[in-house]
Amino acid sequence: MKRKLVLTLALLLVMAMALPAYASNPKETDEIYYKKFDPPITISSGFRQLDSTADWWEGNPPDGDNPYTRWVLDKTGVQYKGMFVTSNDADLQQQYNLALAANDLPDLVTKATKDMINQMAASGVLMPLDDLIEEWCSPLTKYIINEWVDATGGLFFAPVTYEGKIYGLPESGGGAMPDYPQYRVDILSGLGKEIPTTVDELEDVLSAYHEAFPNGVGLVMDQGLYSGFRLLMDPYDAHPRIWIEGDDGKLVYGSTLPEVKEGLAALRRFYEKGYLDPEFYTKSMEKAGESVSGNNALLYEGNWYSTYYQFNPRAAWEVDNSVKVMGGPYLTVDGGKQHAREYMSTGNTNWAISAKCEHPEAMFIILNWQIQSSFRDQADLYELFGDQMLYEYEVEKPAINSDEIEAAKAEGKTGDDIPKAIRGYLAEGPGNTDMQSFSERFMPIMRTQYGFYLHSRPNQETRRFERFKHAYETDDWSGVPATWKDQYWGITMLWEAMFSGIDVFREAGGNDIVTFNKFVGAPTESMTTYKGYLDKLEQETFTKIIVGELPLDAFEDFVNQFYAFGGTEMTEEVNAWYDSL
Amino acid sequence: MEIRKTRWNLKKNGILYVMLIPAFALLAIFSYYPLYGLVIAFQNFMPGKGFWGSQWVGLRNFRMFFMMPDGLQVVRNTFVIAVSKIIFGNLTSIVFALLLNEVRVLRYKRMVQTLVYLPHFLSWVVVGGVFIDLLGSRGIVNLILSLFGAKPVAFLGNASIFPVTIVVTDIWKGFGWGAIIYLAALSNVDVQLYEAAIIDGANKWQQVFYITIPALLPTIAVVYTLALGNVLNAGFEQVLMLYNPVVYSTGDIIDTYTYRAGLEQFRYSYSAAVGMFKSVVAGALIILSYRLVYRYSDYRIF
Repeated sequence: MKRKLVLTLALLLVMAMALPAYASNPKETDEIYYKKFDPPITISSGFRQLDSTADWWEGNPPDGDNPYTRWVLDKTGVQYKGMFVTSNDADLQQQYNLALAANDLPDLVTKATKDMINQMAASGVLMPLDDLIEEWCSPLTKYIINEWVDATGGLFFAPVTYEGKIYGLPESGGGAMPDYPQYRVDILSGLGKEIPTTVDELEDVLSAYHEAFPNGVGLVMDQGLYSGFRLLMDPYDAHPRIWIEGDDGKLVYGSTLPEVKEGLAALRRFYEKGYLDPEFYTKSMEKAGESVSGNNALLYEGNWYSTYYQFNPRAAWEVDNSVKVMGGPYLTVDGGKQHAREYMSTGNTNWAISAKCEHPEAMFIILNWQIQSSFRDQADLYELFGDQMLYEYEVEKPAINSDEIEAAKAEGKTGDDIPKAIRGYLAEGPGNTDMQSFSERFMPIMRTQYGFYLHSRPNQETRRFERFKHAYETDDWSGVPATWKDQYWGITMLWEAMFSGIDVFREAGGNDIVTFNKFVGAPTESMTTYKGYLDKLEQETFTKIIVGELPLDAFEDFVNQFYAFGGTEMTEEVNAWYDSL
Repeated sequence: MEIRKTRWNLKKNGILYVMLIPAFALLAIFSYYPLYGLVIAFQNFMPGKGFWGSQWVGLRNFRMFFMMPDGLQVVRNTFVIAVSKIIFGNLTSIVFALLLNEVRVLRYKRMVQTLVYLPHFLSWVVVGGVFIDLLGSRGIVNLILSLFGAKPVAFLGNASIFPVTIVVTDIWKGFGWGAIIYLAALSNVDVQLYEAAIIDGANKWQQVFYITIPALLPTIAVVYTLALGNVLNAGFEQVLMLYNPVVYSTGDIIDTYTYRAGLEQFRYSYSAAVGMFKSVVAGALIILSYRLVYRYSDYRIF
């Protein structure tokens, strides 16, 4: 026992001695992962330049010479060359498709959908990445990739796997937590009610609200059945629109399971009693949100950012300061286990390498460098990889250029008005989203989607909010970047609405309550044929059941129609895909 | 033969033909060359493989459309909405033109004319949002109806009312614009005819029935016949803005269908096939309508 302790201490000592040895140059053993091409090589790609950031790029063209590309050239000897620049993802993807049709695919494909990756892989224009990952990813990079593989239930590469080979690096991410119910607690307390925890309690609250505000919207829903719909599905453990594992281990389409009918019955009851907007089915998300921003709704389902975006209760708050929003628990039927929808996604956009690329390893070398630079604030990585880290560990601190930013603010400047020079490239390498101090450096890479994209770790956002919440609750702001506090969230009402979501999710059991979509592959053959019709049928049937135009039992008709018209084939293909993983 | 006189006569008109070349070039590049893309309707098109690398599937995409339970429904909806728009839209324009023709106060006439043209210039994206509010159960239309004791009507949420809503809102937006051609025809009616009728003791109604309407008939015939080419054009933007899942059964049209298939589900070949089906039918109808118009009213474009 004692020996072990001594040994550990000795090890620690050695590590401590090794620590100050940081340098911006890799060790000899790791050199292969941080190799510099000499003479420099060129990697062609397409870039995205959002219109909203046009001014930022003045003098820093995304496709040519800007702080990021200079950094990459300096470290790795790779010169980026822009084949095209677009203002959004859809245009970018179209450009890739055109380039593909012209047989002129750039070396690096960015932001491609999983369909595109699978089609390209099938056409043989992409390079399989398995061996490259094995050979060229540094241990640190592999560690981060494995974290994602674990966090997505082993399905991280599934969307870009074609015939058993990996053809892309997925962009993974998601919110800090699943959407949660958000209540206008000021109205609730006016009604003498508490935040409900079960469906029955919710019904009681909605009934009281409807009596007091006959023209108000009790529960906000939109025509796409995105928001509000799931709120009444979760209590019944119903998971419409995703593929879940049945009792026999086979995947089954969630919308066809009987639990969905129970949720529909509840929504139908709510609609009949006037708790929903009578015309919710004509309203897009933006339109539906107007009832919240216009101070005419009690409850909506959203995420932390809904407080100033989409539903925007902040607009109501600005008119009337008594408006207050708080998150409530995921509802249950009888106080049992809570359920929530998945909130992490993988493979919606992916990075891939053209089969014609002469130096595919360059992309992994850049990735190794980027991860080094991005995760400078992740203490646990320094414990694990201490001697391999190229940059010094940096704790959170106010923006590096905070003095200048403060000075600009004193002149009355805000946001994008703050001169580019101040918001420019002030430290070496791209930074991490987690650190406001780095975000200015991070900007070029965020906004163009350069290189491989692995700039966050699973649940990083949750960790960030935890830290944030702690600062708010203890009023000790030393642990978080100063700029955060006043950038968006200077309003008490928003803070509390945001932070309540963390508690809601954690108290419910965190990821344990989340049901994941097990099918993350590209659409199968029968999906391309039938899914359009079946989606339409599902949307039509569910909406009509809710508004009472169809009887509740029409649900069974939908299920029968689903399996009669392609659903059976789809289920077979999805399971074949699942078995092939 | 008359036709022989319209020889090319290159010597005299050569320079004129040269001046036509740019226009023909533009037409060829932007209107005819893209037609080549229609080949994807007969393929299982994959962008990666291009036009000639993709697998040829013959008429499979077309068959699939008619195999889908909603294929024929979509065609029917398109037809019903488009034909109603043509019939009732032009009728409204004609009646409006006749009424406006009788207005004697010039300032008022011009003001009304300008006001009814205006909606034509508004985008459906804007107008659609306004109608969703106006036609809601708490919108102003239902508010007025409720004054007379009527129950709220779900203009956009009732499958049997929805096509009516579509047609009426389209007429509201377009009838002023549509009346222009009739007003032009009316301004050409010889005033002497009216003077003679008045001398013969015809009253206002008789003047309208025996002079104005007969004078309009050729124009009406031309407009309706030319509209044949539009019987599968139900108004994409409008329906896209106003439809919703509840009214899919009567509101989903070919254009919204191809939009969803092509741009939301990336089924390029399939949506190209459906779109091509629509274009072929419309093309045949256009040829038919021109022949009819030529035969019956001596009007020709070609």
